[in-house]
Amino acid sequence: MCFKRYYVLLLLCGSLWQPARAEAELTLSPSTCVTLQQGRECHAQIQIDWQLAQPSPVCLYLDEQQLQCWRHTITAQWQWRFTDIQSRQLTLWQMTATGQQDAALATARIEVSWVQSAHKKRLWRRF
Amino acid sequence: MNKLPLLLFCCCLLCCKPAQAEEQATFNWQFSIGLGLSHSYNLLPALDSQQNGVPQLQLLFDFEYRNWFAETPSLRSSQLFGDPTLGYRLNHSDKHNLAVILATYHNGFGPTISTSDGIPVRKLEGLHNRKTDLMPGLRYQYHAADSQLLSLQLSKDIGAHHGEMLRLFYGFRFEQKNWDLYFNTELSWYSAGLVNYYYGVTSEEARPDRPAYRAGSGWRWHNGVVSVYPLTKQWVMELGTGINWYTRSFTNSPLTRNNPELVSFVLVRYVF
Repeated sequence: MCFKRYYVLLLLCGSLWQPARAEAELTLSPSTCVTLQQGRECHAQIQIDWQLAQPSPVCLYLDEQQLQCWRHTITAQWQWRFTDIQSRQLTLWQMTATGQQDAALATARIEVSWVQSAHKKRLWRRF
Repeated sequence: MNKLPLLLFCCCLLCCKPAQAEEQATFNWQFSIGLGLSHSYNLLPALDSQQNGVPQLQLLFDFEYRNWFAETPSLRSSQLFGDPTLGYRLNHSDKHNLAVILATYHNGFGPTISTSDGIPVRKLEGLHNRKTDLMPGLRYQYHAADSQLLSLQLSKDIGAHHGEMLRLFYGFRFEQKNWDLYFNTELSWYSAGLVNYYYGVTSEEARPDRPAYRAGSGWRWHNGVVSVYPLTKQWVMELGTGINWYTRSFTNSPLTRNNPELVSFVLVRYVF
């Protein structure tokens, strides 16, 4: 019983110690991309939605590659054309005034999968 | 005499035990179940599929074991399991492939054969039954960069008409985003024995509205487009359309209609 009280207190403290970082939600639709054969480039038109608890300068990164930035925006929708042979991760970064990465706010992953593994022979489609 | 092609087929398997062919001991297979709709406007009006527009189930099973292989033509309409091509590779490399193959190419039809396929017997009354053929043959294929296929094939029937068939096929696969697009063209020559067996009309079969007809050898030119799109890791969608032109030895027959012959289908396939 006593342990539970401390646990609730800890959670409360934890939530109070985080306000410096803007809470964010990052969603991808679709979050999967399917190709016919392993090793082939997968193409998808992905809608990216994100929203923050408070306006902040943010940039969206694909691993180390910067894709798009927004200045003091609280929410945004963005269409992005994905092309890759493997799964990748997107990260929404809070930026400093000098344009440096400050804190990672949210991440989301695009999973690339395939119908047929690379070692399987591709059947020729014909009548 | 009629058993000669079969004997040749067997001899090839025994005598041409491949010195150069690299046998792959692993058993590779692909199995899928498709559900789709098809439509055909057949050269033989009586054979216009009774299943046009009716959902059909299709099974596809391909395998490779050592030099043996089976290929199921995935796009034949009105059949749960398309007639497979069985084969044995005599010579095999990344690009070149020489194989002895065995397959059927022409489905039988006639007053009694067609009843089970749902084809109205009235249109075929008075005809002798035409049997489904069985044609062993020799096939050479050349694959260029996984996107082009050239194939030359010579086959001879051993069961129904004892005719010959020569086929030259060229296909090009084009990737457009996640789609695979196949553009295929094929020129086929059929011997007089084959054409006459299926499209000739004997004096016993002749009627006032069906004159006797003796067919000579003829050609068929096929052009087709097939597209494949992955829906999920297990499901793919396939769309296809094909058009066939025949020479006069086919179209002059009282059993046939004029060019062109059209086939099309759409299906979703679950890949195991």
